[in-house]
Amino acid sequence: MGESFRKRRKILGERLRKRRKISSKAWKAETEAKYSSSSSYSWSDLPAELLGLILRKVPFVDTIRCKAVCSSWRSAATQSQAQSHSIQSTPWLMLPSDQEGDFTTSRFFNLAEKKVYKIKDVFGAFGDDVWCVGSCHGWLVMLDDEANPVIFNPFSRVHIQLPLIPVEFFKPIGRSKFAQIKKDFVSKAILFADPSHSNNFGVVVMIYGTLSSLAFCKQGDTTWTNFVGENRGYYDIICHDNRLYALRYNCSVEVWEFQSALPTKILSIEPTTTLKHVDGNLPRDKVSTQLYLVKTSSDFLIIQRTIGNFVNAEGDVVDESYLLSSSDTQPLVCPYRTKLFCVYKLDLGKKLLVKVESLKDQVVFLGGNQSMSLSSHDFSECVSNSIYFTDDRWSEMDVDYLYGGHDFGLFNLDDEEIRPIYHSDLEKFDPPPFWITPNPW
Amino acid sequence: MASSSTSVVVSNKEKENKNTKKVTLKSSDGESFEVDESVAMESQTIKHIIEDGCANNEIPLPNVTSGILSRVIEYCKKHKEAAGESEPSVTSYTSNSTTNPLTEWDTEFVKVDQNTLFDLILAANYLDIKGLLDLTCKTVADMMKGKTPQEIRETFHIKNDYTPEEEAEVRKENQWAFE
Repeated sequence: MGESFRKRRKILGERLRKRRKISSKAWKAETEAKYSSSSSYSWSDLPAELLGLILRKVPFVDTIRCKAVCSSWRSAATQSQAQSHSIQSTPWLMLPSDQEGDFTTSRFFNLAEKKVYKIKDVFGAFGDDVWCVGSCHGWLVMLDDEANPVIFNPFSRVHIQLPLIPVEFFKPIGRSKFAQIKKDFVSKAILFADPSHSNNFGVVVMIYGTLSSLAFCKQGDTTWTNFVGENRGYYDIICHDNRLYALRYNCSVEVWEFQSALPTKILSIEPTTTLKHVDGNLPRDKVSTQLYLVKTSSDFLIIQRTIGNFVNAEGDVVDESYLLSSSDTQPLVCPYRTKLFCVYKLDLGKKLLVKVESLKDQVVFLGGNQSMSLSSHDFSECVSNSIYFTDDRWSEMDVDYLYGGHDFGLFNLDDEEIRPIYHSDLEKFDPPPFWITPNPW
Repeated sequence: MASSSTSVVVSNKEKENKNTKKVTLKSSDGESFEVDESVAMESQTIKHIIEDGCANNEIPLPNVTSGILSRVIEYCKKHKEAAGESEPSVTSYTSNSTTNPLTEWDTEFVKVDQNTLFDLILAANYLDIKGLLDLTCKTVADMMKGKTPQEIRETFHIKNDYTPEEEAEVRKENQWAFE
């Protein structure tokens, strides 16, 4: 009786093992680990695949510390790192050093812990003048000292060189002159895929030049290619479902596919409604606007950012002449500042823009990064119904030595107030802060 | 009046009989648990056994003690109830209380000692119950947040098997995270 019981158990066990595709060794370890009794457990003996499951739910910085706990945890963590899976976490805010004269240390502010981590010499390989033009999947798109594009993961320190930007794109100036004006050349670049495991970034698309044109390069290409058609006036680009969604100055959205050699436009949505200009104490001639396209869990949103070109210490948007109105010998310092965000939902079917009063649980991250959104339900460290933004006014970065890169904060749609995310005495952030979701793999 | 109350009783019983297909699960320490088949099938492992036609009298679960098995059954019952008649149960673990009505119940469920938590993870894995595995793993993951390696060792009673040189090497890989 006992013999057939044991035999049947063994047969069933074998079937289970095969069905679940576990190796005999792992299965044996798993069953033996708990076969005896629950009093002899040890967390360091937890099967590697289960420890891997747990570690995937642990925030990035804590997994690093887990590796230092004991050797079996380290190997489990490394093993699970090698497997491809998307990590979701709140983006970290990448900041320059706050120490005078220190150009090599980067700081990373973690919203979840409200803590800053300092990492030395992150960008050393690319020269002193490296410039970031994009951030997605935990990778930065950068232009090195010679304005050559590269994609770089600051946590894994892996970089992938991209083809040189063609001379035709910045004619008539030569390449060396181009390196000097590179900061204003690319407004944004995005990657279609995370190259962490496969080294395949899919496609990189950038908005460049004075006309804000689109160009792309696919994995394996040796150069960049322009998009066909009118190719001008693009404000923002995002990748969704392996397609490019491009927002243009008139709030039209184009959808492009990359199946064949050249991208094909499969859809163009031109809303019949237009955005209302913000009124009140934000007069049209004293502000600039920037548009962003973002996909939340349910909708496509077009977000209008209104920036006061000169904002005084009281927070009022003033005219440039105001700077010289004081009796001081020096002009007043009135940096540009974001004053307001207006959110519109793009109804794709009806081709309408509908003003949105609340993002509900969604939280949006905007700036030089690929516009993204998260749910505050999943990440309690985020204030819901808010927009976390950084400064992407590349043309204004070097205009005044007293400020630049400083226009970052948190806008809440409930009270339409802007609050700081990170307190700093500095007013100049060079290079400007960027949102980056740590991707250690 | 008597007839109407009888008919109420009969219809309730009819409802019960519909889902009455039961299955017996036997723990490693020999205790038997009779449960509704639909509840037992929250476990993909048990589901396959039943579908394979191997569940004659009872299903032996040599890797799960009675203490743990009774808790697992409690979890499956609660989640099956919440999911209704739909199959399979879709209330997989999420801390989003607007989509998971059992968030509070789940939180209370995992308020157990470490021994039990450890056993629940192994049982959830062996029995292939995704929601329970996610819940227990997330609970352990939350216990690791914001702690130094030494604090993690103390929490989980883990022996540090690194030599000082090895440990220094691991820390050096990502020095900034330890400062």
